[in-house]
Amino acid sequence: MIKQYIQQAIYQLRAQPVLSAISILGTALAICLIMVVVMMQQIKTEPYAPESNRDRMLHVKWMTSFQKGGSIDYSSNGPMSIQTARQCFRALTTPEAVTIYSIEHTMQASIPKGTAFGVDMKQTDEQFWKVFDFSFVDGKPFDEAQSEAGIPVAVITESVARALYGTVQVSGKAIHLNYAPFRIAGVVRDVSTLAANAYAQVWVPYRSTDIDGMSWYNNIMGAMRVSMLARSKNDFAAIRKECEQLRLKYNAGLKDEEIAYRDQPDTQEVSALRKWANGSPDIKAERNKRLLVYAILLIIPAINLSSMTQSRLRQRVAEIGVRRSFGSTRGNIMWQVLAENLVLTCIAGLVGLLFCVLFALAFGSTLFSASTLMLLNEAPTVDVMMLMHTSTFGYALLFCLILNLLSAGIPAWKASRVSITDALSNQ
Amino acid sequence: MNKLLLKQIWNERRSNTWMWTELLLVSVVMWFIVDTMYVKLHTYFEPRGFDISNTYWIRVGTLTANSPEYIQPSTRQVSAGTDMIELVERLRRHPDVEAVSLSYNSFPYNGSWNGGDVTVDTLKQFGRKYLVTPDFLRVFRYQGINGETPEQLAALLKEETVIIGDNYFEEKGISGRSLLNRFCKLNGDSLKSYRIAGVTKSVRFGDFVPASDSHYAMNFFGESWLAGYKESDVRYLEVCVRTHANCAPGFIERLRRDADKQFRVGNLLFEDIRSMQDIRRSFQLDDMNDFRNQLWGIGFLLLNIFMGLLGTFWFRTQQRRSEIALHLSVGSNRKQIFIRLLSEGLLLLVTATVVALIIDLNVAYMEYTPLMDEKVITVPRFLITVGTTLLLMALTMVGGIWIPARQAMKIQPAVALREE
Repeated sequence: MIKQYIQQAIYQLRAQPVLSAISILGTALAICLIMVVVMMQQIKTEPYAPESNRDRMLHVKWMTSFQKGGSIDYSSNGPMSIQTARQCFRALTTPEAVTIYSIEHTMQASIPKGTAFGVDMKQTDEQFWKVFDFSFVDGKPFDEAQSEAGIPVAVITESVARALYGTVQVSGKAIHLNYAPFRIAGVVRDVSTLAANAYAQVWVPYRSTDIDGMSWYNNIMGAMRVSMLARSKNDFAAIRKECEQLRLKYNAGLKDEEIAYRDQPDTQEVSALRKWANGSPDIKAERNKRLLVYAILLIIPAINLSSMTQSRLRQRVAEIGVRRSFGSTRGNIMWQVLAENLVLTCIAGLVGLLFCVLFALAFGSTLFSASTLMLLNEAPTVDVMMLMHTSTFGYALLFCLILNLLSAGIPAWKASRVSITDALSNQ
Repeated sequence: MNKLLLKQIWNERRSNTWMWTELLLVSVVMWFIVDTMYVKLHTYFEPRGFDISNTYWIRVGTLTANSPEYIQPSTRQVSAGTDMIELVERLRRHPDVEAVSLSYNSFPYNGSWNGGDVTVDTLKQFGRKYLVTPDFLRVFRYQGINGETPEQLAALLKEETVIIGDNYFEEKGISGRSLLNRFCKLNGDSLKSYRIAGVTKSVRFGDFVPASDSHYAMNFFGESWLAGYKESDVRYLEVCVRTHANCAPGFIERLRRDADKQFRVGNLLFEDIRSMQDIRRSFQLDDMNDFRNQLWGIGFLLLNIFMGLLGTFWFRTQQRRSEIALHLSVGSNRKQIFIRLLSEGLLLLVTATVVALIIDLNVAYMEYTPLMDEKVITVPRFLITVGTTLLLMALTMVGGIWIPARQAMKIQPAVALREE
C-alpha cells in the first residue's frame, strides 16, 4: 500500500512538472524557514559542548541591591561581587556544582616580551570545569587549591595557544596577561561565543587578579555571575528554595542594604532572554510570539498548497469515481490523498531541512549572533553538533505532518465528498 | 468588459477563494511587519544629538601585584589618579587626537547607566545622569539648542552648573530651553544648587531608542579631582577620544603600537581600545537582527504570493488556452490579454485589502502595534504602511501573473483552436 502511495505521488510529480516544482519548493521553503526559527531558539537552549548540561543548569546573570526597606525601583542592578556570590550561591548544598565567573573582559595577552593582542578573559573557579564540559587537548584545568590560593595559572583555547606559540602543546609554558605572568595549565578546544556562559578565550582563577577589588555598593555588587548544575531538573525547586534561604540570611547580615534576584536563578531558556539587569524578561510573550511565527509560516504556504492540491485532484475526479464505484469508502479516498501528499511533503521537508542546515552553517555567525552587551574579540561560530539534535528532527517531522494536514486536509475531504455518478461523468 | 471580468472571477471561484484568503492573510501579516519596521526606521532616522564619527573608547586597566612591572603604590609619590591625568595629557598630545574626555557610564550606545533626579522648584524628573569632563561635549559633538557649538557648551559646564537635554522635562510639558539659567537641585540633595547653564538638542541613547525615552542631565567632573584616586577607582573611568576629521585610518593600530612606549604611566595600561562604531554595532545587534528577520519575513510572504499566483494562473491559463487563443484570433493583442489576467488578480487583491484594512485597524486599536511618537497609530502612518503593503503585493502580482500569461500567449491561435 505504502509503495503504491509513493508510486502515485511520483507519477503525480511527473504529470504536472511546473505545479509539482512549485508545491515542492513552497513546502521546502516553509520547512526551511520554520527550521531556521527553531534553530535560532535551539542554539540558545539545546545542549552542546561545553554547555552539554544546559537542561540541568540554573543561572544568575544579574542581581539587584537597594536600600533596606526601600523600593526596588531605586536600585543598583548588575553583576554581583565575589563575596555575595560565595555566600549566596557557592554555599548552596543542593546543586551538584556551583561556579562563579566574571563577565568577559578584554585583556592583553602575549608571550614574555612578545607583542600583546586582545583576548576575552573570564575569571572563575575550579567548579567551572565541572559545570561545563570542556575538551582538553593538552594539560588539565586548575584545581581547588590553585583556585583558592590564587595561583597565576591559565586555561587557554587552541587558537590563543597557536597565536602565542604556533602549537597547542603549550601547558607549562608562560602567558602574560596584562603584563603579569601566568603558567598555562591546559589548552581546550575553541568555544563558540553562542555558548555564552562558558565562552572565553582565556580562563584564570579569580583570586589571581585584583577583580575582588572591582566591587561596588559596599562590596555587594561586583563583576561576577553564577551558574549551577543541578543533579536533576527535579531539584530546581529545592535549589530555588535554598537560594531564597541564603538570600534572607545574607540580607539579615547587611546593615543598610538588601539584595534581590528578580525571579532568578533562571533556567537556560529564561537566562538566554534575560538581557537587562533592571527587569525580568516576559517569557510568555516571547513563547506566544514564537507560536504566532510558526503559525504564519505554516498557514500561508498551506493555503497555496491547498489550492494546488485541489487543482490536481480536479483532474483525477474520474479516477476517484472509479475507485468509489469499486467499493472504496470516503475514508479510503481521504486517506489516500493525505498519504500521497505526505510523501510529497516529506520529500520537500527533507530538502527544506537540508537547505536550512546548509544556510545555518554558511551564515551562522550572523544568523545566530545575539548581543551580549560586551564587545567580544571573536565572531560566533556554528558547527553541525550545535545545530542537530534529536528534537530538531522531531520538530521537522512534526511541522511536515501539520503542513500536510493543513495543505491537503480540505482538498482531500472535498474529493471524498464527490458523488460517484458525478465523478464518473466527470462533472 | 467589467461585467465579463466579474463573471470570469466567479467562474474561477474555487481557486480564487484560496487566492483571496491568502491575499487577505498576507496583507494583514505584512502590514503588521511593515508597520513595525516603519516605526523602527522612523526612530532610526530621528536626529541623534551626538556624532560618533572618528570617536574611540579606551578602557584603562591596572597592573596587578603579580606583574614584575608592578610598582607598589606605597613606594610612590603620586597616586594612580595623577597617572591618569598624565595619560590623558599624553593622549591629547597625540598628533591624531582632537579631544579627550573622561566620564562615568555616559558615552552613547551604553548598556550601563546611572540615574538621578533633577528638581527645578516643584518640578522633579528622573533621568540618566552623565558625569563628564567638559571635553566630552567636544568628543561627541553635542549641539546647543540655541546653536551653541560643542566648544561653547564645554565652556559652560562647570562645577556649579549642569547641562540638560531640551526634552528632559518633556513629560511635564516643559521645554528645557525655557529653564535655561534657572537653578536646580540634584538627587534630592537640598543643600546645593546648580545653574542650568546649557541646554542641548535631545540626545538619544541609541539609534532605536526614541527621544521620548532618552532623558539626560550632565554633571561636571573635574580632571583635577583625580589626584587622590586609587587604582581601584581609576578603572571605572571611561576615556573617550575624538580624532581629527582628516586623520588616516588605522588609529587603533597606531595607538596600540605606541601604547607600550608612550601610554604606560605608573601601573596604568590600555586594556581595550574600540571604535564607537563597533560599540554601536554591538549595542544594537539584537535590534538589527530583528530588523533583518522582519525583512526575511516580508520576503517569505511575497515569495508565497508569487508562487501561489504562479501556480494558480499557470493552471488557469492552461485550462483557458482556447479562450485565450480565441481572443488572440479576433484581434486582441498580447498586452490586452495580460491586462485581462492581471485585472482578475488585482481585483482580488483590492477586495482582500479592503477587508484587511478593517482587521489592521482593529489590530492597531487593540494596541498590538508599537508606539511611534507615543501613539499607537496615526493617519499618515497608517496610509504609508498600508500603501507600502499594497504596492509590494501588487508588484509581486504582476510578476506572478506575467510568467504564466506569457507562456499561454506563446501559442499560435490556430493551433489552440484546432485542439479544440
